[in-house]
Parts: sequence; C-alpha cells; structure tokens
Amino acid sequence: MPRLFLLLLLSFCLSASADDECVNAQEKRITMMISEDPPSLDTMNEVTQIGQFIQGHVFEGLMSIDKDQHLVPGVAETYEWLPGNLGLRFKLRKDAKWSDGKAVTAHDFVFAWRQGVSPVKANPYFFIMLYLKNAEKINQKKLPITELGVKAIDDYTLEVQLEKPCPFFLNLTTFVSYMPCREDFFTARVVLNEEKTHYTTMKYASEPENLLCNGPFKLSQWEKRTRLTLEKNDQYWNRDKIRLNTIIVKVIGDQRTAFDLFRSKQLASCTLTDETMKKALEIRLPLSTYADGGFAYLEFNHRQERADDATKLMLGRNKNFRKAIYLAIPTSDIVNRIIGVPGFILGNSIIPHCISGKKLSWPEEHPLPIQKPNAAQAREYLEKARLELKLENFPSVDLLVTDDPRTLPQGEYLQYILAKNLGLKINLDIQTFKHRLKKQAEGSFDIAMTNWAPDYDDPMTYADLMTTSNENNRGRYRSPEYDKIIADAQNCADPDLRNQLFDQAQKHIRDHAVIVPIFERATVYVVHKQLKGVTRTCLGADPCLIHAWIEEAGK
Amino acid sequence: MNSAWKWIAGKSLSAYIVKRLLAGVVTVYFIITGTFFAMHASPGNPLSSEKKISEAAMANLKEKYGLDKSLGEQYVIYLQNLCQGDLGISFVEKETTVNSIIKDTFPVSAWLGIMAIIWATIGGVLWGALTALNRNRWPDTVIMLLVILGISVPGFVFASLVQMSMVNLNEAYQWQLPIIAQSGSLLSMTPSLLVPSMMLGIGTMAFMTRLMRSSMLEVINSDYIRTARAKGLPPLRIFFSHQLRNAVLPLITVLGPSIAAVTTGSFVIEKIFNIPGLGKYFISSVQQSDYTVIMGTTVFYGAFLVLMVLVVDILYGFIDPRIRVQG
Repeated sequence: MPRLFLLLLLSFCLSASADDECVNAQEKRITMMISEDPPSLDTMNEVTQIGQFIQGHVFEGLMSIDKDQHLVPGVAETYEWLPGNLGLRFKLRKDAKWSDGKAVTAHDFVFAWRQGVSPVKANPYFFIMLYLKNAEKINQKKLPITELGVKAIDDYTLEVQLEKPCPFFLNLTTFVSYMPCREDFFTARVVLNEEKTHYTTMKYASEPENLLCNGPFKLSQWEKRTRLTLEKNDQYWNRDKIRLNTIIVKVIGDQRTAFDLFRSKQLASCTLTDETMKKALEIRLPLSTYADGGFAYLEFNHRQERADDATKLMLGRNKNFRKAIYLAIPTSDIVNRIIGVPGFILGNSIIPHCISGKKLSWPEEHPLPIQKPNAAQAREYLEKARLELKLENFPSVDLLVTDDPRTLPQGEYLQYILAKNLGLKINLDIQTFKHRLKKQAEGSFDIAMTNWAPDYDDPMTYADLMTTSNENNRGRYRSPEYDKIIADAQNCADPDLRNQLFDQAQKHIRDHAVIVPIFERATVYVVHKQLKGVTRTCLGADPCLIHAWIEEAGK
Repeated sequence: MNSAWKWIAGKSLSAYIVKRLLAGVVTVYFIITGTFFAMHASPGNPLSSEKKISEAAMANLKEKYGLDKSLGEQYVIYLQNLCQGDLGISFVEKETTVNSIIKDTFPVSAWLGIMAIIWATIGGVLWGALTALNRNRWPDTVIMLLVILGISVPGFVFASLVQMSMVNLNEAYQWQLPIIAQSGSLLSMTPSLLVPSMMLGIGTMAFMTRLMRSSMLEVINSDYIRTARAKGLPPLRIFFSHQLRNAVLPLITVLGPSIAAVTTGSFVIEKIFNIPGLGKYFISSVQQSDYTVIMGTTVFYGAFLVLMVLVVDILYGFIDPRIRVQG
C-alpha cells in the first residue's frame, strides 16, 4: 500500500512537469488561458470576447493594429477614399497568404462579407456590417446577396460602397466580422438544406483542419474544453516581426484556479478578480490595469407605462426626478469604497475614455465638466418633481440589477444612498444577466443598472445608444433633438464637425440627465515578468500577443 | 452467487425489470415534458444577448434554430429527434452537438465519480465499522467528530483549502503537484484526479460512516452474532462474513442515488480543479438559457438516475438473498 502510494505520488509529479512551464525562452512558447472554449471561431457568426482573442491572432483584416495601437495596413497595402467618402478602394498586398499557401484575394473578402449579411447564414452580429451598401435589405431578403456594396475589381483590388458616410470604416476592417474567408474552403465544409434556407451541417471552424488562417498565427490544435494551441503561421507575410512560436491557451473555468496556476508558474498571465487581487497584493505581485471598455450607467425607464404594471407612475419621464437621482449619487464612493479596484474611472460622459481622439482619448480632447454630487441640490430637484407630478409622497422605485457578486453591493449601496439623500424607497429587483436584459428590453423596471461595451473605436458606438431607432435603447429615451444630432453626425464626413456634434450629444445627455454615468470599468491582471509586449485592449484580440516576446531570464 | 444467477434467469425477475423499465420511461417522459415547458416559460431565450439585434436578423436566427414554430410543434419535433437519439445542437457552443458534449464530458465525470464512490465506500465502511466496534471509546469520538465536519462543511471548502495548500507547497518546495486536472486521456488524467475525487467523496463518506455505524451496532447486538461467537467462530470471520455483510445493506440503498449524483458531475469540484466534466453544463446551460443543453443534460441525468436505482434494487439480491422482489 505505501509503495503504491509512492508510485502514485511519483506519477503526479511526472505527469505535471511535461509542458507546464508557462514561459519558455528557448522554444519561444507561452501558456495563456481562457475561461471557456470559444463558442465559435467562425468570423461570420456571433462575436464573443473569447472567440475574438483567438480569431484576432489567426486572422488579419484589410487593416491591422500595430504595437502602439495605431491603425496600419494589413492585408491591404494601400487604400483610397472614393469621391464623396461613400466608398473605398483597397489594393491588397500580393504576398498575403492563407495558411495553406494560396494567396489571399479580394474575392475572399467579398465572399466573407456576403456571408456575414446573408439571411441564410443568420449572423447574429450582422449589425456591425450595416455600413455596407444594401446590407440591411439583403438581410431582410429584399435584395439578392450579390447586391452587397463590395466588389472585387480584380484579384488584388477591392472596392467598397458604403450605405452612408462612415469615417471609422478603416477601424471596422480590423474587426472580426470583416475578416476574409475563402469560398472553396468554406463550401467544402457545410451542407445547405434542400430549400437553401439554412445550413444543416456546419463543420467550418469546428476543428483546426476546418479553419483556414491568414493571420500571424494558425490554430494547430483544439482539444475541446481543455486547450488550444496557436503556432506561428509561416505563410504570414509579416512573419519576421512575430517573435513567439507557440501560444498554448488552456481552458480554465475558475478564475481563482487560474490565479493559483499563475502562482505555480503554469500560466504566463491571468486576469484578477476582487478576491484574487487581495491575495496578489498580499504577496506583492506587480499589478497592471487597462480600461476594458465597460461603461456602467443607470438607465431610466422613459416609457409611457410599465410593461408589467400599467398603474405604476413613470418617474423616469420626469427630468427633475432624473436630475435628483443624478446629483444624489456620489459615484466616487461606488468606485473607491464599494468596488475598490485600481484603474476604474468615474463615469462622466456617455463617451468614455476607451474611445480614441486624434492624439489623446476622445473625452480628454472634448472634456465635459465633472458633475459633483450635491445632496441638497438633489433634494430641490426632487421637490420640483414632486410638485410637477402632484404627489404627496414618492412611490417606491424598482432598481433592476444583475445578481453578480460585484454588481449586487453597488445596488445595495444605491438603495442606501438614495434613501439617505432623497428619502426614496428603493426596491432591488435582482435578476440573472439574461433576465435582467429581458426585463429591461420589455420595460419592466424604473431604473436599471446596466453597461455597454464598444463595438468599434468611434464615439458613435456609445452616442447612438440613446437614439429612437437603436434597439439597445432599452429605456426608450425619445428625443427628436438628440436623434437629429446623431443623424447629422452619421451623415457627416468632416471629422471636426462630427466631433462637435458628439460634443453636443454628450452635453444633451448631461443636461437632460438621460442616464446617470457610474463608472468606466477596468480590469486588473498579472503578467509573468519575462513576457513582454502584451497589450490589453477593449477592442479586438484581448490580450494581444502578436507583438509579444520573451525576455531571457536574469535580465 | 449461484442462487443469485438462477434468480436473475428466473421469470419473475425479467418481468420485474420490464415493469420497472417501463415505469422509468414514464418517469423520464414526465421529466422531459416538465423541463421543456418550464424552460420555455422562464424569461429570456438562448438568442437574447447584450447587443439587441434587428427583427429581421432575429427572425433569420429563429428560423435557423426552429424557434419560429409554435411551442407544441417544437415539443413534438424535440420528442421525435429524441427518439432517434438526437439531442440537438448547443446554442452556446456553436457547431457542437449535445450528444458530443455528453459523450466527451460524461466519461470524465463518471470516472471522477467512480473514484469518489470508491473512496467514500471504502472509507465509510471502515470508519463506520471501526466506530461501532469501539463504541464510546476515543476512536469513536474522534471519527464521529470528523463525520459531523464532513457532513456539515460542503466539499468545495475542503477542495479550495487543499488546492491552496498544494499551491503553497509548490511555491515553497518547487514541487509540481497538479492543482488542476491534466489534459489527455482518462488514464493520463487519473493521477491528477485523485485529490479531486477524495474531495468529491468526503460528504458521501461521512454520511456512509454514520449509516454504517448505526447499522453495525444493530448487527453486533443481534442474536446470530452471539450464536456465532458461542459456537467459537474466529472473530475475523465473524466480522467479515456476518457483521460486515449484514451491516453493509443500508449502504447499498444509498449507493444508487449517490452514484448517480456523484458521477453526473459536481459543478463546483469540476470548476475548482478545472475538470472537463458534465457538471458545468447543468449550471451554465440554465444560466445561458441554452435550451438543447438544458434538455439534454436533464434527460440524461433523469434516465441515469432511474437506471441506477434499478441496478441497486437488483444488486440487493446478490448481497442478501433474503430479499426477493415480487414480480
């Protein structure tokens, strides 16, 4: 028995040592993690953060992001805007190749983009392709797929027609949904049903041999629920700039376990939770933070009546009530005392700091004065609202929150502070994420704690949230004035004028207290000290290891 | 053994099994129906996401997944597919069938569970017998104290503590103790599953110890043991062929449900030790309203539970020929 035990212990150690070194300078190999399998690696399907991390390394679009976060040509060598700024012509580089050695051509982009808007493919992320001419009509089955505003003039010339001006279109071409896909490879791996209305078999992107890559890395192994391996793509045109050979990506479901693995030197980097951050500080690990784009705000219900209770008074429609709430909440307390995680920024404008301006971030170039909380002033506004609404007392207010461990204490704090500063009775309506979204979308709430993440690097990704036509305007704020500002910006090709319009938009949101910005989220992470050049961003592949390298030990 | 085989071949048993299996099918049918409608009645659907999509795009998606049909139609289609053994495609893990999810993950959970049950049963029987034989002496007190701890403290607390100590040991002595399950085949995974399986089995072991103790005490004081002693049988023989065999019966009763519960996966233990098992899907599918996976795991678990209880009932005959089921 003891001998058997020893044997088992020995096998313990042997089985563990094989590939667990997270940073190997000789073989230029690192080990990273994701929290679950990528739901899909198909770029013409739903875009998820985990999927994007892998896709961002194995695909390259027309444009690309360099190590300083600047936009540089990718598969495209040069580009020019067509007259009127309603189209672009890209010249593709001739040395861009797929991982099987064939050239990446303009046809591959045409095919992928058509699939992306096709009703047959039913891409849930199709809205990101709406900037292409006729995209919406094709998705609604009103036009054939060939009418999409993208054409291959020849193998290496791609012409794009836009639906309306889109000054950030070059940024969009770095987004996963705009990646190329080769037709013969795709069609060999799918089966259409007889009526040609949907795919019955979808093998594309399900296994490494079913994924054709054109990026700096290629997928060489995918052991479901366990690990993926990315190998340097030796067909990649810019391969000399890639300094890592192998990236092993382990699937680690539990963040605490991931941190334990990082401490055991089995992971080169990991994101920290509130709990593991305390431990990391205790053992004095150097922490890094980055703005992950999450923008948390309170959304009011601006509808005429509540979906679940028509008798309920719609307080969110009253501007003075909204202002009272806005002024009564000391957001610095939420950020510093309730959350207490480094890197968070107090919410101020609807356009957060993750959006870049010309040189600095957009809000730094177009600052909006900071609104200081003021309980006395808040009570004055509340009194005005009470008189306008002809109320004796305010009815209780339902605050819809998600039941995750970080959001819940914020909800409880809001409940406390609004009772203290305004004497309002707040009912917390605690729901799971999906149920929270559903209640918000149908309008069964008074105030909701919600957040938004950007889709592309332009103020529009946040600013158009509050327009009448936006499906994600779950509070149903309706303002012709605001709609006009945004419509003007959408049709405006002059960058300076456009920025002025966005400035107007952020002031409108503030003046009408349409929402209460709470904070801009940050994520805290740790990196192995030999691993350099890792970038974390809120858009695209995160973390990005394309430009990363391993420093020799002891330096 | 011989008599049991005869009994199995007997007519009454096959009739009994058929009857029980039919009852099982009815039970599973009710589970399917209940889950199906409850799932569709609960708010949220698998296609809802943070970014709301246009109605045309949503219509395309619903058509793709067959959610555009009426609930009754969907129910009938589901039953038809189920009869052909097709559990559908996951909404979350796109391009993955539920069948393949269960096929890939269940063996891992089952293997972990079997290891846990082995630990739990061996431990439970030994500790239980030990406490009963040493009734009211110090081994009894110490073990029963630990049992109370094992029953009242959930397994994941021990799991986290043990994992943390392994991390500290690794740090302090540069050891390479596997704090998560190794990847690869079941065999290569086994060493790294030892600790998780012990943690998974702690609760069951404690429960079994208590059960074993009380049943053992009853046996010790019974007439046939006194007779056996009186006729001069060696104590070891009394222990193994009379005391243990009789006392272990109640354990077999709880074994069936325990095996089903433990082998279909423990969400928390699997998460902590990063074991690619089925347990995760029970929880995450509900959180994400992944209809097909909810149905698949529920049907599978339901059927498995029904089967396990039946197997245990039949096993009774082997352990104790006095128990005969009326066909």
